[in-house]
Amino acid sequence: MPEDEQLVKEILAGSQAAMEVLTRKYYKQIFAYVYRKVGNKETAYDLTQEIFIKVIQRIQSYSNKGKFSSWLYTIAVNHCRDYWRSSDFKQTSKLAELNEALVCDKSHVPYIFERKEIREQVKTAVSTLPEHQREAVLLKYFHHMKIKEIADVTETNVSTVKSRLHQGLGKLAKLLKRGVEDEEEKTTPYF
Amino acid sequence: MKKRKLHHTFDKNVDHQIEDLEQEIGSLLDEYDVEYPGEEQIIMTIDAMKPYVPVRKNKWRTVLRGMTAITKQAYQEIFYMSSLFWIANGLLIAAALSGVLLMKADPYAMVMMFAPITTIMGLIEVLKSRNAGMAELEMSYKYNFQEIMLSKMLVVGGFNLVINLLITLSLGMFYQEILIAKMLLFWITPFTFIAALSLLFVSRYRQIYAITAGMVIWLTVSGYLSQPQIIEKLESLPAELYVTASAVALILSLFKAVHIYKRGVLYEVNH
Repeated sequence: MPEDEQLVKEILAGSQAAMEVLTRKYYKQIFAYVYRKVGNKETAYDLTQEIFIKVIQRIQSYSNKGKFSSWLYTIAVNHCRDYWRSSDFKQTSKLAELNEALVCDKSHVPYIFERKEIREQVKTAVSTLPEHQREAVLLKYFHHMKIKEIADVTETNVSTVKSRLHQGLGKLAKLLKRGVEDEEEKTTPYF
Repeated sequence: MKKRKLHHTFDKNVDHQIEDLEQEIGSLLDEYDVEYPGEEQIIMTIDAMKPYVPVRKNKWRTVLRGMTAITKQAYQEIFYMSSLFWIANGLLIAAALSGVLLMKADPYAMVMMFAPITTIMGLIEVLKSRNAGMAELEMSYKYNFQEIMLSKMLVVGGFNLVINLLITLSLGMFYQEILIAKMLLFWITPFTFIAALSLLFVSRYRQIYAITAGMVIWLTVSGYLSQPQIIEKLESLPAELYVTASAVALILSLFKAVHIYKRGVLYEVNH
């Protein structure tokens, strides 16, 4: 969108208003990506904030080479990768596993919570994917990116993205179908 | 050549398989929704980013840029004001003119009474949800909330200026003895005063019902001011007093507008 480049120009000229507009425009998209990547709201909030600070710190290095949104997503993807390798992640993931176990203990879920249960299954299934496959699936399915754009954002080539998507979606299909079948067994009344 | 063809066929197969898989599990993936942070948290992020915005090289250039953005936006806002706003103001001109021409009401008192009503009514437009409608949403991708709000205030203020000049000139044509300068003074003073109060108000409260309260209060006050003995007293006050009061209110308005532009609106609510 041409407006993005215009807003970047204004930010470079010192406009805080333009910075606010650009941040609000992409905040939810980036938060959604990070949230689905890390699976935790608080961590996602902190990481999203760090991403946007990084964006504004590096705004001078953005020189209209490509779409602003692609540049922003590249920073988000790399920031999440850095977090993935950090010690912070290892600590948080232990807590998340504990929470996950507590959720799974509730075996008799009432029907009205079935959708929530499916959501949790999808969340767990997505979190089991290897990092690169998860990135490709999230960007393709939830952010409607084309394969070429995913390749640019994740700094790889088109064939690799296709392979990651193929493997990632295949794993998800297996995991989710199994989950749904288990759920159906649970809810089917015994005669 | 053959290898390339094989590769192409493989790629096509993978594309189809990806599409099939997406369709197969799409409805399940859709269930993975996101719980987004609240407005306050987003504002905290924006505030955390502010120190990293490149320092402006020329302050005046940035101020000029901000003013240009607000003026441009104000032009667009004219088309998004509700028809109720225009109709209500049309009736207001008719009421003011007929009050003076038919009911022989004091023209100065009438102008003083009606001057702030347009602004108070305009506040309803200003406070309308910024996400009401696609047009507003689209604008929020170009301008921040402060810019949209100030541009709406500019439209309301500008319209008030036009409407009151029309009333003053119309009355001036019918009554030769009317002092145009005095009329303008009787209009400018309450207008600038109410404009300053409005800016203070919109930056702190966003409830529409408070506008109704404001309107009732002003009508009560103006009812009191329109009494003959009060009008006489008001007319006997020196012009310098009106000019000073207007200047103070104008400075306050400008100060408040710059403050809103720099600091934001919700920021003040939260702090």
